[in-house]
Amino acid sequence: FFFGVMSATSAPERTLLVVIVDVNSHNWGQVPHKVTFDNMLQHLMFCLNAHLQLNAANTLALIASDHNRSEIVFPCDSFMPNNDHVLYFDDVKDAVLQQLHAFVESSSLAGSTRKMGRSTLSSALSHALCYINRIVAASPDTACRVVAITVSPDTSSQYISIMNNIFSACKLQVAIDGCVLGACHSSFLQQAAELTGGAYSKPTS
Amino acid sequence: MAGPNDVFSYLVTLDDRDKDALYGEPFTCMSVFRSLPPLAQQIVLRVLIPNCLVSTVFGEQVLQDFAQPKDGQQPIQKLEDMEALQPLARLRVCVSPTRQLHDLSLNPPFRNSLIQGLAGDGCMDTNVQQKKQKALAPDDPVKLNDYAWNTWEDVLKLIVKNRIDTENQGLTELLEAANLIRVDKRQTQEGKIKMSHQITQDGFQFLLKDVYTQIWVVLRQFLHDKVDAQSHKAPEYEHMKLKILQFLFRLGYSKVGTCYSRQELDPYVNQWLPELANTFGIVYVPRVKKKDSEEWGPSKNKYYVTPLGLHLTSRSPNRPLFRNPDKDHDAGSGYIIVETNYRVYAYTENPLERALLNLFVDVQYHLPNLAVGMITRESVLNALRAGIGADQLLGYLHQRAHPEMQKNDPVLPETVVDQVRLWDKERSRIQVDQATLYKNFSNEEEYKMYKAAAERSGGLLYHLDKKQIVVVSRDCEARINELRQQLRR
Repeated sequence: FFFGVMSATSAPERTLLVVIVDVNSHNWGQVPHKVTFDNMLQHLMFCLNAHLQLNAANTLALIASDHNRSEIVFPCDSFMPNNDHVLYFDDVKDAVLQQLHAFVESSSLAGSTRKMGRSTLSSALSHALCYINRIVAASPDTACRVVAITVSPDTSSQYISIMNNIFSACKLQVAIDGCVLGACHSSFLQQAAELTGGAYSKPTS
Repeated sequence: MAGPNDVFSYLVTLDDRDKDALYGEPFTCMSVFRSLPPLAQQIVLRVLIPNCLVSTVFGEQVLQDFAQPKDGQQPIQKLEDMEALQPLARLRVCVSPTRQLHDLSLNPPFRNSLIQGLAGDGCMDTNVQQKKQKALAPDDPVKLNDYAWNTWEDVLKLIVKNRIDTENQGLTELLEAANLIRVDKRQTQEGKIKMSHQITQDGFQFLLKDVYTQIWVVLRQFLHDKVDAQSHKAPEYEHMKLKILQFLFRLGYSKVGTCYSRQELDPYVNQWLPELANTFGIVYVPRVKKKDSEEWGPSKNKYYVTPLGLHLTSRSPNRPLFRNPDKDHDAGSGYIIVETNYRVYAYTENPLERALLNLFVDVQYHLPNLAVGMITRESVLNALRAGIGADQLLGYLHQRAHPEMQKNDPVLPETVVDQVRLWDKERSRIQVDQATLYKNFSNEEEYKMYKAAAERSGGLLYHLDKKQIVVVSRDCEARINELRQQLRR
């Protein structure tokens, strides 16, 4: 199925797309209707490629978030963009998949079930916004968007941090899109999308 | 220059069958997608996966709103009328069986190939070479860059030079066919035929354009002359042109410096590859020693893509527009400084660039790394007379402006820009006609007769009743002289 969220990026100038991927393996196992992680990755790659094709100067960043940590997975140290600053999709795809794989492998399996079910959406959002801030300071003409793909339910203790994130996103003029693949709606993402001018979708098939 | 200046405008001129055949390759579709305006890109993306009509996704009312020209006019029904969809229709990305707006959908071959390309299935297989035992080291990007620019500059030098270069007979014919040079054949006293060529007006304009337009114009002629000519001979060559075009689009997605295998290419493309390399510099075929002999010949197995080839089909703002002589800066930074007192300083050693500058700047001093000159009325008028437009001239300077200059706003000094435009307008302000002035008539009757005669013959340029002066153009002087003879008698 095609992410309706993807088509929300329409800026003609160079755009930075930051994708937050929830790799919480516990919650992925509980996703209904036959959506698998690999499946999602395939579609995600498609969207990323389309994004890169829209404008030759478009750039990407990927953040993986687990139950206890979140990291900027791409761009990483081992990925060397060449002199022309052209992102070749093959390189990007390989690097992204490799890094995600490493991230998932290294996630610790210790901890109680309750803790495992958490999501670290707020820390991932903060990561994303800090990265965007850095990039915008370097090249001010970049438009930015954040797309969050989650499967985990909302953790109510993160409410305040997420609201802070939303307000800073408004200030930076960054739209936050949300795509929820889990069982229940995420009101945090709904609020984020509405306040920052992004899109929210929860596919049903 | 006549004809499309851009690969994508050229695509518009192909007929539908050819376009559909072209869209069988994923890279072609990706390149075309990349070149579309943003709105068109969005439309394509949204209709891509669901494979439905455009009006289903957008709603017919929305489409009408997009296309609403003025208030109170009839709603747009026909495909051609809607401006936002024009590129899609012309490139045959979207088709409409009934030529109506509500029936618009994506062209199936385009759609399939685009999906394939976006999913990453059409990626070039570079692993084939790496698996082999031999160390096929990727070529040095700097060397490839130099090769590409040198090759293309040779072409430009040929246009600018006056002597004929007998080795490059094929290239000369190509340039002549593209109307960039004019070849004169003269017979010398010994009976030998001596040829020289001169640049044409189109050629002047051509020189000042950016390199990718230049390459494309000559490439287009090449495709027309050489490839189409062969294709008429044998029917299986029919698709040669399309294959080469597909290959060009593929280049836009390759990496500079990686070695690609020639064996995987289409045989038709393979046949023309050395020529593409030697004439245009968009690919590079290394020279290797042939088996069992000491001769060097072009490699049959590998080729590299050069920066010029990479950016030929892309419209990326990062692409280098001209060769940079200064190794410190990134490719494409400028080297010309224009001052408000009309002095021009060009930090370049490249003889071709100096020659181009000579076209419209009065170059006064040549230093090892610098050319100093002034923009004078004569130099600019010379250029204008040769056919270069004022805007082209200014565009050329603007493109190559030094980074320090580019910090100004506007980049070029206004005085210089305005003055060049004024000199250009001057040429059309005054019109010079050869004429004769008649005055000191004996009486008013005579004056009136002369004036009437001139008016009748259509050569009356100016008359003044008060002073009894008639100015007649040279062409009509004969008639006036007749009148004079009549009156004398």
